Amino acid sequence: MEIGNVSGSQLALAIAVEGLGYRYPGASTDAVNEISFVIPRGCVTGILGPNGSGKSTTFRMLSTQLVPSRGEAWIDGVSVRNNPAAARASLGVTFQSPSLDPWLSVEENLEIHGRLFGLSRAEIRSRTTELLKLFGLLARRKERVRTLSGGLARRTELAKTLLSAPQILLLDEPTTGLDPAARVDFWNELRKLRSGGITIVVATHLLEEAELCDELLFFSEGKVVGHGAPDELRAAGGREVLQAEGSGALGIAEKLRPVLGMSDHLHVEPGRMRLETNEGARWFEQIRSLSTMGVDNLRWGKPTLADVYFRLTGREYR
Amino acid sequence: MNAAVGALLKREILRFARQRSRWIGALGTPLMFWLFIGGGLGSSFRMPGLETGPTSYLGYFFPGAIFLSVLFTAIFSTISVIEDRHEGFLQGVLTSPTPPMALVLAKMLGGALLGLAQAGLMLAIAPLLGLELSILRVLAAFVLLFVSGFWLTGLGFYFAWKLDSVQGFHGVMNTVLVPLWLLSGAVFPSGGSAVPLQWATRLNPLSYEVAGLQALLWEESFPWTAWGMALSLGVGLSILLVLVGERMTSRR
Repeated sequence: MEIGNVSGSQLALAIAVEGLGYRYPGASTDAVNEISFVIPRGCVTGILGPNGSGKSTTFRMLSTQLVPSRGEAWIDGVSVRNNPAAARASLGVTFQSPSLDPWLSVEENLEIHGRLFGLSRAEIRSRTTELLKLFGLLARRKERVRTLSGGLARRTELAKTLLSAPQILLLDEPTTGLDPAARVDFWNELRKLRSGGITIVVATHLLEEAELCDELLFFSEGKVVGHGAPDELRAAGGREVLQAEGSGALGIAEKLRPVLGMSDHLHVEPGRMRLETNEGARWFEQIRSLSTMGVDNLRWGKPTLADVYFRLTGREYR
Repeated sequence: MNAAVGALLKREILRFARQRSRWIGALGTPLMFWLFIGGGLGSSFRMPGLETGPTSYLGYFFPGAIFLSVLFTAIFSTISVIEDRHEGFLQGVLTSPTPPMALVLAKMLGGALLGLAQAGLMLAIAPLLGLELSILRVLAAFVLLFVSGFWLTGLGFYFAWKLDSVQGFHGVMNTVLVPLWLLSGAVFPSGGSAVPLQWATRLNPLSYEVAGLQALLWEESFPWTAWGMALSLGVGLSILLVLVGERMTSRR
C-alpha cells in the first residue's frame, strides 16, 4: 500500500476518486470531467448512466486501462496513476465483453488467470474447485468456453475474476447477454459476495439492476450528478410524479399550467407531460378528467430512478 | 513473471494445437509453395549467380520454403493478438498485476517454438533432396530457426498491436512481411537480379538468416561465418523487438 500520498480516510475506503478527468485523444470535450466520489468497503455501488455518460471511461480509469488526464483515483489506498500494477492486485475486473479464451476449457482459463495474479499451482487448484462448485460449474470444468451458453460463460467469468480473492470487484455491464433468470442468479451471487465483505462496483444502464445496489452514482455528460442510496435519491425530491403520454399531453399541460402551485414542476415534450408535485391525488384526478383530449398512458406514483435522473439532469433516462 | 510467461506460452501452444486450420496454413502452404514453385520453375529457369550448392531449383528453394513456414507461423501467431483484443482476453491480461512484458515474451516464444516445430518437420524432408545433415548442422539450423522465428514474431507483434482488424493485418502481411521473404534470396539468388532488388536484398535482415540456413544445408564445410552472422543479427533484432514490444504494451 502507498501510504505516502493518501490520507488515512482514503485508506479506510475501497475506492477514492478526486477531480478525475479524461479526454480521448483528438476529442474536443472531456469524456469524464473532474469527478469526485468515495466508495466505502463492503457495499454494492452502481455506476448508472446512459451510453456516453462517462461511466465506461471511469470504469477504464479505475481498472487502470486508461491513465487519467487529470485528478487521481485510489484503489485500496493505491494510486492508479502512480502504481497501476499494485492497484490491479486488489482488483477483480469483469468486462462487458467476456475476457475468456474460447479455445480453452473453463479450468484452463482459470489456471492462466491465477498464474497472471501470481498464485501457486496448489492455490489455483484448491480455489478453482471451490469456485467452480460455488457457481455450479464443476461438472463442466473440462469443457471449452466456446461450447458454453452465455449464462455459463458469465459464471465462468465471475469465477475467474474471484480466483485471486480480490477485495474489490469492478463489473462493467456484467449481465449483458444474460436471460432474466440468469440475471437473477447473477445478482444473488453478488449479494453472497457482498456479505463476504467484498466491495462491488457495477457499471450498468439498467434501472432494475440499479435498484439492487446499496449506493448509486448517477453519471451524465461526464459528471457525477447524484450519489446516494436509491431510496435516499428518490426521497430527495420529496414528491410524487405524474406522467401522461399521448397526443393530448401538450394540450393538458397548457390547461394545467396556469393553475399549478409554486412548488409544482411541469415538463412537457412532444407526446408526454410530467408533473412533479406534492399533491399527486389532486392532479391525477384533474388529468384523468381531461384524458379525452388524448391520453394513452397515465402514471402516478413515487419517483422511480428514471424520475430521479430526470430531476438531476432535466433529460429522460434512455 | 516467469510463471505468467509460462502460462501464456502454454495457452499459445494449446490454441495452436486446437486450431487445425493454423496447422494447414503454416505447414501446408509452404510445402505447396515449395513443391509447386520449386517443381514448376525448376526445369524452366537457369539461375545466374548460383555457382555452388544445390543442383536443382527445388533444392535451392528448400531453405526458403522452411523460412516461409517460420514466417507464416509468426504471422498467424501474431494475428491472435488482434483476436485476443476482440475476444476480450487481452484486457484480462492487461488488468492483471503481470507486467505486459510477459505477454510480449510469451507471444514471441510461442511463435518461435511453433515455427521451429513446423520448420523441423520440413527439415525432415532434407534426405529426399540428397542432404545428409550432421547432428551439429541440424542443431545449428534449429537454433537459427528459433531465433529467426522469435524476431519475426516480434515484428508481427509490432504490427498486430498497432492494428485493430485482421483485414488490416493481412494488408501489412502482403505489403511488408511477404516481400521481406521474397527479397531475402529465398526464392531467387540476388546475384542475377536487378540492381535495386540486389540492394533491397542486402538491406533485408531476413536475407542473412536465409543465407545462413542455405549455407548450413548446402556448404561442404561448416559455415561458421554465415551462421554466426545470421545468429548475431537475429539475436540483435530479437532484443530490439522485445524492447519495442515492452514499450508499446506498457503505454496505456
